[in-house]
Amino acid sequence: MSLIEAKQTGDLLTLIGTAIEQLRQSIELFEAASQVEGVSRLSAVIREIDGYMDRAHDDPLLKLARIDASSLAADLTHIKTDLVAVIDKVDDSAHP
Amino acid sequence: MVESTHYELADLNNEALIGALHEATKGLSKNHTPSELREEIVNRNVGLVKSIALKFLSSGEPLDDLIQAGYIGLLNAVSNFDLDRSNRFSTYASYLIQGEIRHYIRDKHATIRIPQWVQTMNRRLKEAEEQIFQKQGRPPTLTELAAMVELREEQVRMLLRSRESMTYVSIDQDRRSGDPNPAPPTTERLISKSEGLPFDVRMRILAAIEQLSDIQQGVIQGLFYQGKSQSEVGKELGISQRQVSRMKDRILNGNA
Repeated sequence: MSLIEAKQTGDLLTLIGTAIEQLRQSIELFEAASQVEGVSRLSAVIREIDGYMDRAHDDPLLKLARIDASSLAADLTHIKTDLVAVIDKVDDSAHP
Repeated sequence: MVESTHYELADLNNEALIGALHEATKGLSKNHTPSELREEIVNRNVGLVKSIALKFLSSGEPLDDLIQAGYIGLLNAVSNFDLDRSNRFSTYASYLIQGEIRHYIRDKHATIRIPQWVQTMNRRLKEAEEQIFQKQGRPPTLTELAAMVELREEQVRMLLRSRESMTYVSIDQDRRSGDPNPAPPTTERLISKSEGLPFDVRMRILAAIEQLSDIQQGVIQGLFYQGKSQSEVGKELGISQRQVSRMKDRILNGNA
């Protein structure tokens, strides 16, 4: 199984682990003035959240941990919205 | 340490009452129940709550409401006070009582929209303040707070100022029109003054990390604390006990 395939079939904890790592990296990149790379990390997280939401109904972890799918979707959407706002803000700063 | 001999609550001071409460909650003392002791501690400190609430009368909130908010802080102090630390209970309680009253006033007067990430970061700051106070027996320094919440001192300073502005800026601006003291700057204005990586960018990303961590914690709690055997869980999900076990091992080993 390729890395991409592995990611696409990842469960919620895989998503969270990857996302947290990428978000931490994005902060470091923004602080190092690597805006493009920072935005790229945030975009990757957004894509991964989207991908996970599409396949969440197949994630056995949700049933195993008794996680309410609709409330999880709301939380993830909220996080996504915040990240989109960050990208907009960075774009605005780069192109005032 | 309170001896397990019979004693009258009236004979005990605040610290001894707290000690007795700890003994009772651990089942080491049967002289009085924890609820009796809690009630006595609350009764003893009614005056403390009132005296602190009076200092906040200028907020325009009714004294009774301020006192009610203060009681929440007192109850939290009774629940969380750590006997192993050297600070006095009344010092710790005063700190939490003031915090709750400020929080109450902030909520009542919050007519401006406070961004989610500012609320999240302020909650983190409040928790850090309480932890440091509990450990050191005194309010935290800016350096300690910054280290605990992984921010720069300047950023913590701005957050603290924004917290104050949330309390007071939102009070009707008309009432302030003739005020010789200008209103403090709003959160957004404070943020726009930050240098380098925009302050709210960093905060929003940190808030996202925190939200993800909360979800992660919820999953792990759901997995391990629902009191069901692996076989029972497996049956519910239509997978084998072995698969459930492997999944949990994978998560525990950080390979999720």
